[in-house]
This record gives sequence, structure tokens and C-alpha cells, in this order.
Amino acid sequence: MLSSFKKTGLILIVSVLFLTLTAPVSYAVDLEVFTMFGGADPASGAYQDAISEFESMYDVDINDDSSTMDDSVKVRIENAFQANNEPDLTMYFTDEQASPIINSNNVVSYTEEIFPEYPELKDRYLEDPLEQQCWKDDHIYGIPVTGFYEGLIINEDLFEEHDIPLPTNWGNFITAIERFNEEDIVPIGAGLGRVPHYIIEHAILVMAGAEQHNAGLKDGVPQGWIDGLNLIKELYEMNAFPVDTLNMGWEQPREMFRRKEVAMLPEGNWALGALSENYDTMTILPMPVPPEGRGEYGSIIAGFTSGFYISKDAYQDEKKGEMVIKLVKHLTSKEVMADIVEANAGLPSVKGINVNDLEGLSVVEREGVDLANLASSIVLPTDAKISRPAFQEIVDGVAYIVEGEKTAEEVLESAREIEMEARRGEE
Amino acid sequence: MRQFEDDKKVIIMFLIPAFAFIFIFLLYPLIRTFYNSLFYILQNTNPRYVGLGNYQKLFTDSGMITAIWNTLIFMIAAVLIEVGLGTVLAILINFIKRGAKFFRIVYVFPVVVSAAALGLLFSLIYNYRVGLLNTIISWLGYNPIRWITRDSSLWAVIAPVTWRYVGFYFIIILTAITKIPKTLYESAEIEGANRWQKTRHITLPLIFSDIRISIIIAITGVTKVFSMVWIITQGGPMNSSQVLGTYLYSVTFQRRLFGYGSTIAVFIVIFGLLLVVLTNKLLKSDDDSGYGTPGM
Repeated sequence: MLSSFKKTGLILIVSVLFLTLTAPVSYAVDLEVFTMFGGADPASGAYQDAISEFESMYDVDINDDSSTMDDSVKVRIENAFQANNEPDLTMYFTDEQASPIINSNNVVSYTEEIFPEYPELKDRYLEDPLEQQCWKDDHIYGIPVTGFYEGLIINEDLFEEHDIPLPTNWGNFITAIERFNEEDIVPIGAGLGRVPHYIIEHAILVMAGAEQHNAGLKDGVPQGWIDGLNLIKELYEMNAFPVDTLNMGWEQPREMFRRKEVAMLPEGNWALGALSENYDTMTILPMPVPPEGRGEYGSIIAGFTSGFYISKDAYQDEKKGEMVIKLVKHLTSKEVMADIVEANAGLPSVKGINVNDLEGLSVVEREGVDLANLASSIVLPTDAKISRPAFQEIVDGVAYIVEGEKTAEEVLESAREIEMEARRGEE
Repeated sequence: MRQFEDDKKVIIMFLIPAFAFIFIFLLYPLIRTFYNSLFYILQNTNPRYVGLGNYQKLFTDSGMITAIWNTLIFMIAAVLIEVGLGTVLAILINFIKRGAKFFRIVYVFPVVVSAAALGLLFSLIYNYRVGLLNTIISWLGYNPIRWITRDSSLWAVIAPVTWRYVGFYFIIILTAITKIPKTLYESAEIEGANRWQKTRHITLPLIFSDIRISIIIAITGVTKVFSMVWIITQGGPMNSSQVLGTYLYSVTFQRRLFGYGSTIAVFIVIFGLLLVVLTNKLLKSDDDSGYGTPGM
């Protein structure tokens, strides 16, 4: 038995140790940061390294709340800006989805305030990526990190094994669907009931062409959009998708592709990281255009639709203002950007990065970057052109269209009504 | 009198923190939700007053009508399976002398497992290619089946959700049964009553108020069903397994229609309250029939 003196001494020592270990270390500046480079994102490692490096360079503590994106996270970020409780630095979308962020009036305009004071930040960027960030009022509120591209990711070895030509034109594409069906391999991996996003974008692009694709729904429903959704129905009737496609998310088609149960996967560069086991047997191609399509082979969905927003409060804060700019400069530096490009196979937005010099990129990832660089035209995704509820109406409508419960016209007319109501709200 | 007044002050002082907590975290959000339901709010920006427009939309929205209908089916299934099976199991367990503890743990186990984990488990069980059910079917030499279709999806989510709560009602009913005085059964035995007669004339009447409470909890619980349905089907295919909770999430988080989402939330509260009142009324006459309650 311990004497009461010893007991008291022990408690004191434990208490002192506990307080020493748990006492907050004070830094000159604390920054709240949110990015999409969290969780399983392929760039999360490169980003964490960049943050650690920054913390070792300055007397700063980064409270990093990065997370992979889903609807609940998006709503959390949007609401944080609405409540003026936003992080000091936020990486978020810069397309139509940025409305709640920019309309909150809590972000700084790079065009008006930051670029005049820090011209070197503007100078480091390539012209196109920066131009794409221009909001409706011609201001830039978010500066890009890496760009994305979408395409048809191909399990090339399956085509070789079954002597099927690669889908470089519509005829080959249809042949591939028919032949893979005979071989009991799913031709196209996509979940039409839950996340048909990428097949929607590809189908509308090839049937509508870049001009109609970009038109959105505000001036009426473009015929090309109707044709695009009908194309998905045609493919569904050809058994091009998995049997349980109406109850699939995005994970299952990727997993099936990885296990060689799927031949073609309409996806974006962000999916490549999860398919690294197949790098040696993969390639990426543009979606082929049907004879009646208005699109052009080589035209792809790509762009720079996410970037760093700086909170007004942080920028105007005596201590935080300077530090948050330093952090943005660090994260968009050539070195950090190259690391991120190597990790997520995205498109660099700053000058001086040659993807051919990046040893960490696989052949298929280089092909992906080439696909974007050599594209005949580049268009932004469908959800960058229309409001969120209108896009969701189309997403939800795909299952009804392919099952013959609704026509493409009905779904798109309904989406247009929703779009017009959303736009009335903006005015 | 003075003493009483002092007590009153103390009582009020103790009640204030609880009331403040309830007001801040329950009443104010409820009032705010009702206020928001009168606006068109997209992504929480630029609210536009629409009066009762969202409420009119509520009853013409096919997704909402499907969700209400499915929720009602879910409620019937919850009462029959969760409470019904829970009661049957509790009565049976009360009969056995050996192994009762083991069965108690087995039945209660799903209640303590998180809904997300069970949802994931069942989505894997139903999986077309690698799922447990189709693996067994393949072993038996048959072709795999699509377990989640437009016709089957609602039952595919009802099964795991109700199965999960059987144990919860089982424990409530079992506790009620154990409170029944043994002397009643002994007297019945002396009179020559068999097990069925003892159950019919002693057990069931004396646990009726607990069954009624269980039914009310089960019914109101269905208005809150979300996680497992969302993980297994996301309310699909084509809204076929949509329930009020998942439709609320879909409208608010996927479509970002905060005003209309608030309208659905208000509807769920009113709908839940109405069902409680209705259930109470329907079951009240039986309760007043002179059988008494088991809390004796």
C-alpha cells in the first residue's frame, strides 16, 4: 500500500505530465484551412507534405479540415460561408457551384485586391486556367490548383485478349459492346441510378457538340441534350451497362474495372489513382461520336473548376492576412503543384511544369494529360452549366429514361423549369 | 406558504437550464424550419418568399407521395415485425429455463451495431456479383438474382431495418413480462390453465400498455429512418424505396433546396404527431378495458 504522501506525489506528477502534454502550444498565427485533398484523395499525401513544410517554415499552426467531397461536405462548406464562419483558406469549386460561396460576400476578389498587391501570384499562372476562374462579374475569387479531364478509361488488355479493336470510332465502340457482351464482360462501367454524371456529360457532349453543350438550359432545351440522354437509353438497351446499374454508386464500377470485369469506364483523372494496379494495361481515350452526333472526336470534358478562396476576414486580419497569402503562394508554387500533379494526374495551372519531366506519372496518366492538351475543344461539365437542382433532376431522371418510364424531353423540360425557378431566385 | 414560494424559485431555477437547452436546440430550430418553409431557398442564399407555395408542391410532388406511401408501408411492417416478433420472442424466451441469456444477447446484438455498419453489411449481402445471397444461389446451381429492383427495393430495406429493432422491442416486452407477479401464473396453473391460456389471459393483457408504447415508438421511429436505406438503395431505383427521411436528405442536400426541404421537415413533424395521436386513440379503448398495467 502506498502512503498518502506517496499517493499525493504520484497524483501531482501525473497531473503535471498530463498538463504538459495537453497544454496547447501557442503559435503566432493559427489558420483554418479546408481543401478537397482529404481522405482517399490521391493528392492528399502531397498536400500534407506541403502543409508540414509550410508549418516548418513559419510560426504558424494549420488547422486542416480537408475532406473528400460529398453532398453533406459541400453543404457544410456552403453554410459556413453563409454564416460567416468560413475557413481562412478554402479550396472549393469555381464553377456554377461556387454561387453560395461568392454570393456570401465573404471572399476576397483576387482581381480587385490581391493581384494588384501581389502581381507575382498572378504572373505564375498560365493564361487559360486563370481565365476559366472568372465569375459572372468578371472577378476572380478562386485561383486554381490542378485541372481535371474526363475520358473513356480502357482496360486495353481485355481488348487485346478478345481481339476487339479499341473504341476509337463509333463502329468500334458498338462492336466492343456487342463482343464484350458475348464474352460475359460488362462493356461500360457506370451506375445509372445513382451517379450517372460522367456518362451524362459524355453522351450530351458527343450528341450535342461543344456549342449546344455549353448553352445550358436557360434558352430552352437543346435538341442535342435530348439526343444525348436518348443515347444512354440506346446503350442501356444494348446491355452496355452492368445488370445492377440502377443500384450502383461510383465505387462498384471502378472496382469492377480494377478486377477486369468492365472494359470501359467513363470517368475522370481523379479515378486513375484508385486504378493504379491496372496502369500497365490501361489507356484513356475520348468518347467516340455517333454518326448523327454533333460533337467532334477529340472534344473532351475538362477544365479548371476548383480553386483557393481567401476569406475576407482572414485577409483583413493583421496577422492572418500576410500568412494566408504566403500559404497560397506556397501551395501554388511550381514545386508543390508538380507534386500534386504527380499524385492526381491533373493538369498543371502554373507555368514551368512539364508533365513529361514528372517521373511519378505513369504512361496512362501522361496519356490523360495529352488527351486534354491535344483536345480539339474543351468543355466544362454539365453541372458547371446549370443549377444544382436542375442537374440533379437530370441525374435522377436517367433511370426513368432508360427504363422507358419517362422520355428525355420530359426529364429535360422538368429540369429546365427547375433551372428557370433557380435563376429567378438569383435575380 | 413562504416555504412553498421558495421551493418554486428553486424549481424554476433548476428548470431553466433544461428549458433553455430545449429551446435553443429543439424549439428554435423548429420555428426557424417553419419560417424557412415559406421561402424558396437555393443553397442557403437569396431566400424568396413563396408563402404556402412549398406546401402546395408537397402534395403534387410524385417523389414525396411515393415517400409518404412507402413510409406508411414501413410503419405497418415495423409494427408487425419489430413489435410483433419482439413480443413473440419475449414470450417464448420467458418459457424456457436454459439458454435464455444466450438468446437475449443474440436478439439484442443488432441494436447495438451502428446503422451504417449494418447498411453496408446488407448492401454487400444484396450485391449482384459478390453478395452473400447470390453466392449461395450460385453454389446451388442457379443464376444470380437482382435483389434490389423497383419491385423489391422497399422490402430489401424494410427487412434489415425492422430486423435491427426486433431486439429493442424484445427487451421492452421481456422486462414487462418479468414484472408480472409469479403468483398469477401459479394460481392459473392450480386452475389447470395451459401455456397458451396463461399467455392469452395473463401475459398479453398485463403487457398491453407496454405493447402500445412500443407500437407508438415503432411508428414514430419510422419517420426518422434514414441511414440504412440511404446506404443500401439511396431511395432508389426510381424512388421505389424512398422514405420521408431519405427524400428530405435528397431534396436538401442533393438538390440544395433548403426551403422545400424545410417544408418536408415540418410535414414529417406534423405527420409523426398525427400518427401518435391516432395510434393512441385506436388503442386506448383496449387499454381501458380493465386489464390494468404491468407496473404494479
